Amino acid sequence: MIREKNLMLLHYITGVLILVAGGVHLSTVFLLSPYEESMKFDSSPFAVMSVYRNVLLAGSLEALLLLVAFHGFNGLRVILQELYQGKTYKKAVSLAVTIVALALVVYGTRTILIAHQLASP
Amino acid sequence: MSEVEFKVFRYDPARNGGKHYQTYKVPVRKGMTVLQGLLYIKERLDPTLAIRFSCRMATCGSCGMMVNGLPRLACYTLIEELKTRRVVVEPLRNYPVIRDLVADFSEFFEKHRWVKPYLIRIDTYTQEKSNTSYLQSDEELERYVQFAYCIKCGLCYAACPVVASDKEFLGPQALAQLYRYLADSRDEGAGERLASVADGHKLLRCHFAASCSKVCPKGVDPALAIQLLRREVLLRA
Repeated sequence: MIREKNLMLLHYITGVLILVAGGVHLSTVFLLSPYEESMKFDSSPFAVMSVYRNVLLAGSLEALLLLVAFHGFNGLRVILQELYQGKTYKKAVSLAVTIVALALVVYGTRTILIAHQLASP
Repeated sequence: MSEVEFKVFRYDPARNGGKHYQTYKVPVRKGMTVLQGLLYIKERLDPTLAIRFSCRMATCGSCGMMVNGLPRLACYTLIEELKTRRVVVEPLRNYPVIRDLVADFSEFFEKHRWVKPYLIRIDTYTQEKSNTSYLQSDEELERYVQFAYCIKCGLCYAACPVVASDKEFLGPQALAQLYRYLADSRDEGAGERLASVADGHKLLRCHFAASCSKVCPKGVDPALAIQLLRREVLLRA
């Protein structure tokens, strides 16, 4: 079991990193490419699929997925465990959010991998 | 002399009475406090009213209650500062009610005891011998003295939104006192203290609403103590 204080430290760190990674993501879309081009699917060098073509950019999306999944679901765990305190309930909440978070990370990673393969020439 | 209406929460489980409010008309003069108004009611209008009070000068912390929706010391709250002709008085929130305006502080004191509110020394022989002094500089005193002003009135506990929902959370008063002893240079129990709150809901469920500091009548600033304690736990525990 991870100690609560370590979970909170990770929560703060992921919060800051989300700001950084999210900022990078928005910057690449809005500042480095023409806005109309970036909204197209695949008919432009700056289109949506071009993000998945580039390994670094796809990797940053994966990082954002992991950060948001941890931060969001840990936050949900904290909220749910504050509302009611019982040993079984706490374990059930921890297990449930972990399973859902892992499922979403697996599905999101699969999506990124498939998109990367589709986007690659 | 003008008059103010006191709407007072009444509850007597011994008489199977339900929770209800009773209204009293109280003549007020300049400088009159809420406590004086309640004592007027008790002495002249309704002697069955149960209230807790003692020093009448914001030192003992006994007369904490909800006054117009905020936790305050009744002896320290002037009726004229409320700027209303209607004063609603209720027992402190987040505490079980014994009767009328008297709240049960058992859980509050239990949490305070849990944080070991005394100096922990390795050299217990010297401590018990009591013919020596532990020297402390002004700077060392400044690090914790603000948090030592706590009078255990419980207003911070009543104001805290996390205490309202999370039974495992220690509460602002206990956590402020834990930091008070942690920051005291005479204390040698830092490892033990930090380890005790590094896990679970005891410390880390604080969301920094800071209502505890807002209502504290002695300027203790428990929210500051909790954030300083949180930093110590995250970095050192």
